[in-house]
Amino acid sequence: MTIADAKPGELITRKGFLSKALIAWSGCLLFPLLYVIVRYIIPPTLREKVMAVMNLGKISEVPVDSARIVKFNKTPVILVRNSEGQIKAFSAVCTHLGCIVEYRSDDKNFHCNCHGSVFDVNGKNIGGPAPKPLQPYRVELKEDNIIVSKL
Amino acid sequence: MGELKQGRGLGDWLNERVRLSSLVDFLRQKEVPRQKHSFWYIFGGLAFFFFSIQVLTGVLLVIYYSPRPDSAYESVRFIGSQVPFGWLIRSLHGWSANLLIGVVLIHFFSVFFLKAYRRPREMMWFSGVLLLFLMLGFAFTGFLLPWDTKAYFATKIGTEIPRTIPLIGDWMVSILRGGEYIAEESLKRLFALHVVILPLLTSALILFHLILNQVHASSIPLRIEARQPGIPFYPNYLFRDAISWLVGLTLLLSLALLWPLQLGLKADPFASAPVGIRPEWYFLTLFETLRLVPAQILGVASEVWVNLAVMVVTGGIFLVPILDRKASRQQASPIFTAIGVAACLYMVTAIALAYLTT
Repeated sequence: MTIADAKPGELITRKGFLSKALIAWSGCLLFPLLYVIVRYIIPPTLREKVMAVMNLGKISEVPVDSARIVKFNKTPVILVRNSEGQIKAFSAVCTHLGCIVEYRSDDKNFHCNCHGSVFDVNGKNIGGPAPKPLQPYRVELKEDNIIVSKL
Repeated sequence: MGELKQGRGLGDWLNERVRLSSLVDFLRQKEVPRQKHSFWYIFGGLAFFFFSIQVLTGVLLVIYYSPRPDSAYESVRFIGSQVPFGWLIRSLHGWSANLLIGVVLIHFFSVFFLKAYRRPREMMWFSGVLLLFLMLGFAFTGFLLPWDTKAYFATKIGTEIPRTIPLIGDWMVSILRGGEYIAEESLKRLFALHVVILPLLTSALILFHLILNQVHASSIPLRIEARQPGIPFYPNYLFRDAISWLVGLTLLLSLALLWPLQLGLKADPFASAPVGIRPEWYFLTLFETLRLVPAQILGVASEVWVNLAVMVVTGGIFLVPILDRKASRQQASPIFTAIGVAACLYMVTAIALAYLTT
């Protein structure tokens, strides 16, 4: 085919070719760079050692009608010892928006001070905006030790 | 173009090289409308003034601040107790943040009620609303940096809220926190946002907003005639700006000196949230809404509804110039005025309730 045979619009000028080539070249560089930046922002998933069962302290460290917050891997867990001496364990993270609850021995309930959620001593949500109960954990007592595992 | 003076003073030396006289001539020709609501024009400039204070004091603070959980709190305590006037610089930064958001809100509502967003100033509204959200973003990201108890829990709650957004909620929380928990990665991430990313975005938007103000000049409210001649920007209006900035600076210094910023206890991720904890006043509307809404509505957790409401309200605010068809036709729009009044009343009520009940 010669220039004379070409239909109108088929011919491409050197300027037109260079423009298209520059756009394509920029795209080839910028899109992967954009992907790199987005992927960089997303935090990496770190493999951490997670224990299924943990010794969270001594029974004697939790007096009757009191509670203590301890670490279960990276999660705060609240150990509570009721009036009958039973020890229960729940996630200390309020199911509303993630604040850490506290146990109040005057009404024997868990309270979240952030937005007023209330949970009874069995972890059930009984007041405020919390939509779900506190997550319970399994508790076993071995000698003086409190052994906690996920249900 | 100004005449090129061949004098001998420093001003003449600078003028020959920088052509300041051209800028002064432009500013002399620029006029600000003289009308009964001209007073409200000062709040835009005042917001810019407080933002400049934030940049200056922020740069000074970053000299001593350490963005790691094992040293952030200690570095802030060091600034407050050991660095000469560190307590003052930190207090200026904290109080200026409050005044900045207050002034931006006044500016926002004055523009809203005076319908200054109507054609052809829609882009000014869009950029202004984005600037408002950026200011709140600054407040949120900066709040964690002292790494005290209040900072920790405020960030924990604030970054937890997006979790209920379908499909992308967990991903958004992970991006904001740099992982699942509020930890070192969260502090570094929010620090980078606060001192680099948000300032760059804000500076670009402010420049855009100011350029548009030069292009369109200040808006004159509907059914109001501007008196002639207008107020020359230089030196008359600049003089008014300077007075408002001096008032702002005096107020800021008074607040910083009389009520210097305190530092709470160091954050403990395994301690209960303290009694009476609440966010700063500009987030109290959302805080009180979260407290008042019941746990579930129609079987769906309340945070989902609140998230939805926030998205709808945010979108609505952004699109005001498009939605207000009457204003775009240069007509009065009492419905939008009523919505604005209702919004103000709700905000004030929520803030008052939050202070009275926590």
